[in-house]
Amino acid sequence: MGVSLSDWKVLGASVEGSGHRRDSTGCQDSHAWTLAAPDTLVAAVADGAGSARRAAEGSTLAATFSVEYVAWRLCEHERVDPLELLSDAMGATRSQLARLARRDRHPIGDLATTLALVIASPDGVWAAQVGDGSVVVHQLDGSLLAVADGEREEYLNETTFLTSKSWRSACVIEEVPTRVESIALLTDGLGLLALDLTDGGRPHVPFFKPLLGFARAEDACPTELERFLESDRVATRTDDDVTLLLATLS
Amino acid sequence: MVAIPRQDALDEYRREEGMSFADEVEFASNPEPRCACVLLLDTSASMGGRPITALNEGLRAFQADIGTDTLASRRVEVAIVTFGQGGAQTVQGFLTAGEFVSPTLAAGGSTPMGEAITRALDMVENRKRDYRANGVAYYRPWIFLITDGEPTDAWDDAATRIAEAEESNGVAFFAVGVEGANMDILRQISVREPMKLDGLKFTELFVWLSQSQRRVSASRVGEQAALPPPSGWASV
Repeated sequence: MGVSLSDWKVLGASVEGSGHRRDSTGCQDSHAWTLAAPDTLVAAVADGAGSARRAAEGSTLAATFSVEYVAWRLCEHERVDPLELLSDAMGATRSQLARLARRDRHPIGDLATTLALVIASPDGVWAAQVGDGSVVVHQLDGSLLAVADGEREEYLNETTFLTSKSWRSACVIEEVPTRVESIALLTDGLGLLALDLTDGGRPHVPFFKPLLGFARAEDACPTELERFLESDRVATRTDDDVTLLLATLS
Repeated sequence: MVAIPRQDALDEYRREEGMSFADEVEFASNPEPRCACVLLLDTSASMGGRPITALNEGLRAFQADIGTDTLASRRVEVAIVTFGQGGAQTVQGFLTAGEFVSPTLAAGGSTPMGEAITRALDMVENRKRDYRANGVAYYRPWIFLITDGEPTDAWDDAATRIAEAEESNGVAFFAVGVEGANMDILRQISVREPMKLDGLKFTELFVWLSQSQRRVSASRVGEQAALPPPSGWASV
């Protein structure tokens, strides 16, 4: 096609982990994205707690609602501070989860999920997060930067959820005014593969570069990303659900 | 082993599907994350005869079951502390489940449970220190106590330490009482409600424990470490 409606090319995939297949829990990760303007991407990834009964619903609601909320505010209001908007969006998403739990008369903990929410433009990235996902910005100078990294909990499989009482104090919101080349969002299932955990969780460059290069290709499709995440190479390293969302600017 | 043809097939598939990028993606070389588990086993005289035989069979079943899971074999680290003849004894320091070889335990002596609990808590603290020093990520450690009696030594300090460790999320402590166990004292020692073994179903207990451990790395345990409901071995 000769006309491009958007400056962003986005590929996302959430894949069930082998441990979840064994336990027949299904994929409890979710992702969502939309464009608020041709150059303004809103994206989210969410990781439902394995121990929560309706984690898949929780993560789906968190990802889709938060993205729609931000896009709606960006389209409706002429001037909003992105950091304030993200803070509002996290709160509104938390309220939405509480509303669903109340309606169905079950504890909000049944919907336990993390949430990483991002607004990205060519001139900067704004990110908010509760939990242990990652937002990685590929800057125009080629370097990779982790944004809105929460404080890591002592234990690998324990974190604060958006449904937790202490979610507000665990919520990290950050702004990175930089020339953006591409961004990646991931859930913690990929952390062991994508981040150098012995080096403070720095993004592992040889992991991201080929993937972002692939995402840039004109014929790249999410199915290929799914196949990669389902491949034996990934499955032998992690048995958790994995989500990867790649967005590149043309 | 089917690994070689499968890899070939996968490469072929990648070429056809244009997935060449997948071969270029390099993974970070993080050490495998660990989940430390101390088995705290009563080997006092009252465990003699059929109970100790059943316990040994259970340990063999644990080794067999966890060994079938490649990720758990690399991630779960098992240590065994017994309490009976000669006091608390570290029969085995931390070994990954893949290296773990089930010992054959013998019964005799009294029930120095307090000493054994203190030792297990120290071992867990030291292990976490090792993990941190080596940049190894880890899951919340477990201590799993099995007894058919009651402590014959002082256990107040051990109970206080467990309560403190649980409060600060330092460890998850679970207790199982075999027929004859003083459940009232176990309730004072363990923050979580102790479970009761049905007869001598040690094999069922250890297969369930292995499967609970295998699950740890697959998904989150929420804010409170909790075990899946005991099935097939606990009496109500």
